[in-house]
Amino acid sequence: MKRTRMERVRLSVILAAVCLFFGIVVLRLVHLQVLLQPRYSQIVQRQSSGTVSIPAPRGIIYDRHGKVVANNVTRSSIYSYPMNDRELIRAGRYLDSLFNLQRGTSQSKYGLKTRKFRWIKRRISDELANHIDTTAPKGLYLRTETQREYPQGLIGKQILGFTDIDNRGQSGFELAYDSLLAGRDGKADIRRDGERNLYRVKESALIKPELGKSLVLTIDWRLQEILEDELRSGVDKYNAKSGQGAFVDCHTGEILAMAHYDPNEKKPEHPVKLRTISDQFEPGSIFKAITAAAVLDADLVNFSDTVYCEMGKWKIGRRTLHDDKEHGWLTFREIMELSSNIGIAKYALKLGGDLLYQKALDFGFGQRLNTRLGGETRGRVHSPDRWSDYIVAALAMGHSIAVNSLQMAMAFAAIANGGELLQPSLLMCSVTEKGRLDNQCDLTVIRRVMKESSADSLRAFLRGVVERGTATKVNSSAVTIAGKTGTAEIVRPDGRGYFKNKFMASFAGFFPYEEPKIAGIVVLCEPKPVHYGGYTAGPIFRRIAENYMVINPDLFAAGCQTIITNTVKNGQTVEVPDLIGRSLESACSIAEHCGIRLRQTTDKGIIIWQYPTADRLVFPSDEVGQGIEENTH
Amino acid sequence: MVRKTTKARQSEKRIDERLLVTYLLTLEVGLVAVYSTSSMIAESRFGSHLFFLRQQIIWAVLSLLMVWVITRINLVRFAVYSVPAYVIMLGALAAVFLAEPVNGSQRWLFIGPLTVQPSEFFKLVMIYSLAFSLSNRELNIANWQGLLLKYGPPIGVALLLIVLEPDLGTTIVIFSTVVGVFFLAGARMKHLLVAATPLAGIAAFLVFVIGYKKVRILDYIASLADPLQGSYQSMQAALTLGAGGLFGAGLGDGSQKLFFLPYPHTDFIFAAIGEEIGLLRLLILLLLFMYILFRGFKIAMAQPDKFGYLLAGGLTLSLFVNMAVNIGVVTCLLPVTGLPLPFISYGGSSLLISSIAVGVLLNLSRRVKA
Repeated sequence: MKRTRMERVRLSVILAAVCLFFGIVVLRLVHLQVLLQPRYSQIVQRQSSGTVSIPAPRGIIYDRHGKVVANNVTRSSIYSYPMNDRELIRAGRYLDSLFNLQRGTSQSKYGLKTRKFRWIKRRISDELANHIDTTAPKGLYLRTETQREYPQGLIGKQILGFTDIDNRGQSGFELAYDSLLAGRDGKADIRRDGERNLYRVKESALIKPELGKSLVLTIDWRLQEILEDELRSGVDKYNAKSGQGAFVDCHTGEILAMAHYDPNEKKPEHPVKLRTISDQFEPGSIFKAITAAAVLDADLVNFSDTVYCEMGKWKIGRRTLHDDKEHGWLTFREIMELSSNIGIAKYALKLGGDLLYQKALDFGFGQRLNTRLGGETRGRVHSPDRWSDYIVAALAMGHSIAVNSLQMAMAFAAIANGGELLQPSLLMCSVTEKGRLDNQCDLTVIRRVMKESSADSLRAFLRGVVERGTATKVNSSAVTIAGKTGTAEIVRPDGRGYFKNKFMASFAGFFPYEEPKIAGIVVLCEPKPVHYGGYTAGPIFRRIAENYMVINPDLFAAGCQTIITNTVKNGQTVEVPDLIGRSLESACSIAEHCGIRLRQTTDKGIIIWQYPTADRLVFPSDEVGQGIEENTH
Repeated sequence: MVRKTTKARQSEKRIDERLLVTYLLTLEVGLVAVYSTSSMIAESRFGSHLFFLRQQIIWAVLSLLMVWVITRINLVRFAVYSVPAYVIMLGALAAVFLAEPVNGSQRWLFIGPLTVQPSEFFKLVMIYSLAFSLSNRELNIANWQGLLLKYGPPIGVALLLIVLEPDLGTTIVIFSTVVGVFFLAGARMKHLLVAATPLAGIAAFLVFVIGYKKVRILDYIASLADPLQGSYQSMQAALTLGAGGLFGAGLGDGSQKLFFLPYPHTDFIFAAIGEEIGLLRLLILLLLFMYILFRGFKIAMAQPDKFGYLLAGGLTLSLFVNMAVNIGVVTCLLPVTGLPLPFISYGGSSLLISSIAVGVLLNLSRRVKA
């Protein structure tokens, strides 16, 4: 026995205490690691893993020729996430000096807080981002985000609309097709540590982002640019308050260009409405084309018959109709060409209000066009229940009816294409991820609105308006235009009749007359001092038509040497090479290399122009045209 | 190697090989644990996942050298230096107040490249001194007024210095060890209780009336029932152990060490490896610990004199108190206080001190009856 009894007992007591303690620890471990394990491992799982969303890039928007009109650029955004007070204070000081703020202000300005995420500035310039990247203290970080960019600047911006800071469409096309363009954000599993560093772990647990659909607009950006240029210079030249115009393909109903111009417009980069569909106005004499359609359809016109136009003054009931000039006996053609109110009123009264009303409805007035763009108005057509003769006469000359520009452009497209009202479209097709085109939108005929024979006659009358009538200023040697002028007094907003000195000047028509391709309208609001449509809106229309012809010679110059080909390479989009100045032989081989086959009608020559121009995308259904000058050597 | 060289001179008994083997095994477990729990932090803080492991290996080698040296010296011969050594240690404890505070406390001395925690070394010196002093045959342990006057001031000063650092955890560990050594020496239970009661009263007064560390204590009380209601640290420790389950996530695969669990390679290493190896293998580690303690007490029991008995018993007790406080904190059985786990946690001082204790135990294991 080495130790005393007391010592052995005391040591045993301590040993027992040790055993007791370890026993308790084991029980506790069983409690924690077995009984609580399911719950705890779930919590641990939750705090150390998570998902990050992978933003889907927004779809690109092309014009009808593949020109990119809206795309995405990546920009850096700066945010703060300080882990502790020291990082917080440093970040605050850094921001003070970065943005030249008074010392200590940025902490409250940006609401910096430890362990809280705060955006400081989003979409900063690349230089600033580089600077921050190299100099920022811990707690401030950069994150790249995509931002919408509009390579064409303000051109067509009214149609495109804009997106907010989170890339959601806010107006125009961006809003109307937001669900398609936006795509769906993806998700990825990540592992997170206690300091908020993220680790990607499993690629398999990734939900791929669904890319936003790239969409192709029916808009021709070259025409859009022409339209906007001409509206701007026209409003300036004719001293108007504002102007607007819309052009459509009269065989497909595709909208080719739409714009308004108001020198006083605020924030043109954030357009909220497109006046060509949202503004309604009394059309005035351009509506006589619709009246004429009704009269022609009702077979009321014998082309040689004449009507007495009362020498410019005609009393209906208690009110008097006026003409600008004192016309005597006129044929129907002359009534149209000279835009006689009294003449058309007499025909309209012969026709009766009901039929005229019905025709106005047939032509789509008073109904929405369903372009999906926001702010579209339906216009207004009063029902003829209690119409007096005067109201029928007023309607015949385009008063007591309200329309918007696009409705009128579609109506003239119907006249131009032989009498079919078409559904206007803005979306041509969409592009899949692999560059294929799908969902090509078919043209939709809403209804036949007039007899083909009536349309033929009316087109001739409208051509006469330009050749001999109120729109001789519109007559162009380059392109044959047909159309109708309008000069309407503006309705007082208080509902008490019309302003005596404020006019809406308009010209609606189509070109080329022989084989109409494009219909459109130009409207000027309050041009001064000349207020006649034929002298103001008309010339703008003419210049647009001429300019458009210059860039699209293949559409007009029928006799030119052209080769046109379908380009199909597995149904994919192809970029067009620059072929101008090359010999036909080398052009063919270059084109073939790109997957474009040129169909030749001649075997020698130099390419002098091409369509589409270089660097555009060509879609399978599109055509590449080349102008060839015969090689004289 | 150790066996051969220690055979001859001052003893006739062989060294306690079981303790040595257990110690070496535990040391290896510690190195693996340090690497597994520190590599992420080492990578992110120092750019090398091996940073902490490399340091720890150096300390482990030093510790083994130390063990080897200690097993070859005559411990009794140094007993005469115990009083001066004690005074020097008190000086070192006072000297920490001249050093720069780290995280608000002054516990360390910075000597060249080394960081030394005097309170750790004090523990050893104190046990050694107590063992020597209490083994004096002329001492009447029943005369408690005499004992209090003799031991009260020097120990009180040391505890006061440590508590002011402030390092409450170490203070409690040392105090418990002192009480334990007195208990082993044969002090009357009544005296021990009388000595402990006013201290407990002061502690209760400090916590509940003054409010010192009140939140921590309230957190602790809440965490006893539901660990998730405790402080962030004890909550994370409980979650970490819980996530391990019976079999663990696999060595190196713990997710909690990624900055969720605080100090995964030092104070909370038990939880961090608990997540990775699971309950079953954690029990093996506990068995290693228990076996070391068991061997320690066995050596104490076999000592030929009271000095060896108190020294072996006191050192084993001190190892136990360190283990108990650390594991108790990690398993939410005790309020949070930062103490390393002997043999396992990263940290030179802790490893060296624990190894010295084992070395002394091994030395004592060779003694035979005088």
